[in-house]
Amino acid sequence: MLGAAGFIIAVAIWAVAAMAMSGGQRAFPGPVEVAVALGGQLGEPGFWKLLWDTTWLWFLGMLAVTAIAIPLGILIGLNPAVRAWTRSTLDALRSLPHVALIPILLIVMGTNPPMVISMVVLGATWPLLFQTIAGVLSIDSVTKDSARIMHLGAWERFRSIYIPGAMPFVVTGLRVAAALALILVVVTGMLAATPGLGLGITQAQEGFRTELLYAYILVVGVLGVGLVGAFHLLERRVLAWQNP
Amino acid sequence: MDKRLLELAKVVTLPLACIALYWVASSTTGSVFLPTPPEIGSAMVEWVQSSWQKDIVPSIRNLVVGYVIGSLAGIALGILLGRNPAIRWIVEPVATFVRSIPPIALVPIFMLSLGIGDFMRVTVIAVGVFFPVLVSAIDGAAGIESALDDVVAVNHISKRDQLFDIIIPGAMPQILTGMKTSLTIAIILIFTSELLGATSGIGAFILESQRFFAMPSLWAGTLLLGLLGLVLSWLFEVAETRLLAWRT
Repeated sequence: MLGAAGFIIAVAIWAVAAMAMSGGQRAFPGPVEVAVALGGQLGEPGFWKLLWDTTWLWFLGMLAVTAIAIPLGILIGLNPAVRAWTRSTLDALRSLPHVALIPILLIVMGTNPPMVISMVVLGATWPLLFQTIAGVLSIDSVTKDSARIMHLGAWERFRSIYIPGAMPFVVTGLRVAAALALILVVVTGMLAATPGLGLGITQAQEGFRTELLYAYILVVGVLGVGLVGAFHLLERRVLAWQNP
Repeated sequence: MDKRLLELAKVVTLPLACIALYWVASSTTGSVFLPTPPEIGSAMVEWVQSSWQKDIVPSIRNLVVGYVIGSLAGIALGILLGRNPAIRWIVEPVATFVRSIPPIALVPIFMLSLGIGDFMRVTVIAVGVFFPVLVSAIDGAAGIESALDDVVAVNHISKRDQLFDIIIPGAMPQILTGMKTSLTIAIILIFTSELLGATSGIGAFILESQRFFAMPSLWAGTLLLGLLGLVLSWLFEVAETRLLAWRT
């Protein structure tokens, strides 16, 4: 309830500020103009195309991130030697400003979905990878030893020991990666004109359609809250058996 | 083998191997997209020598000013909100929502209302830094053990001492986590705020190189930004260890 009050207050401040500052100018639209623009967009197929492109590229990117980070994380987590020798490189790769790679990727790969997915992989793999490594390290050694004594095969160990054992950490990594991946899809759209809401934002800006610009940015925010919220639910569900 | 030497080998082997692999790949394929390390190196030296004042100094100045303003504002407001549950419940959902908007998406908004210039860039960086620090400072200040409030009450500790000796140190671990996230955001924002309509700066140089297909320069600019990220996050970790040393 208080949260709703917070949003109402924020929108009210926005309305007053927009009226006071712009006074008829279009540089700073108020909530009413933006709501009207957004309402108009809901009837446009073009808008749903932008939303769909962003969500679909996000989904493909997350698939690639998961397929790379989880097996790699298990491998690194299980081998102390691999961990020791790769640590400096992974730490460095994690702390790079990945968005800065967009211009290079744009020239080398062009404007296409594989380029966006590569960008998502380059930027969003790290939180999931590091969480998976931490998750594997958290599995107690008795469980690992029992699996060895029982002669479980590699696939069986992967499926019934490492994946469930690392799961609490993995779901947190997935949530962080999901938020990052959405940001990367949108930003790549803004800077490299790949399909989706990012491209919509740039076009709205270039056409001085400020109310549309604000509407698209709000949609990105709502999409982000929705996706992260879904992963929060998943996290709670996965962790439910842990602390009954 | 000497133990320290082995540790050093563990740190440098893979990065050096990656550079060597790239070197071989770039010189054997001769692709224009993959300039060799010497080509990138000479482009970097030439750029830094000729445009140090024009491109690099303003970018770093904007970064530092925006980062400091955004962090201080986030810490101050975060502590205020974290200590007042009622205000916090009102503000936190809004802050969480705004935080989920990529800060880069806010660049066009600031460009349209503030124009293109250093003031806009510093503002963008400060706002991008502000929200993660705010959310983590709220967490930190709200999570301080309530037993400490009793200690404060019993010992008649002044508000000022309470703030500087209990609340700020108590919230420091979370604040630093937020500031670390913000550091990467800030570096990305100096780059993006310059990509859109700047004539000088690291980002402007990268964009110009991209437009003219000057691949060695493009790689040099990107590499410099990456190195800046590495150096700053390393400095941050050193400072973090110092600041949290009292805990152990």
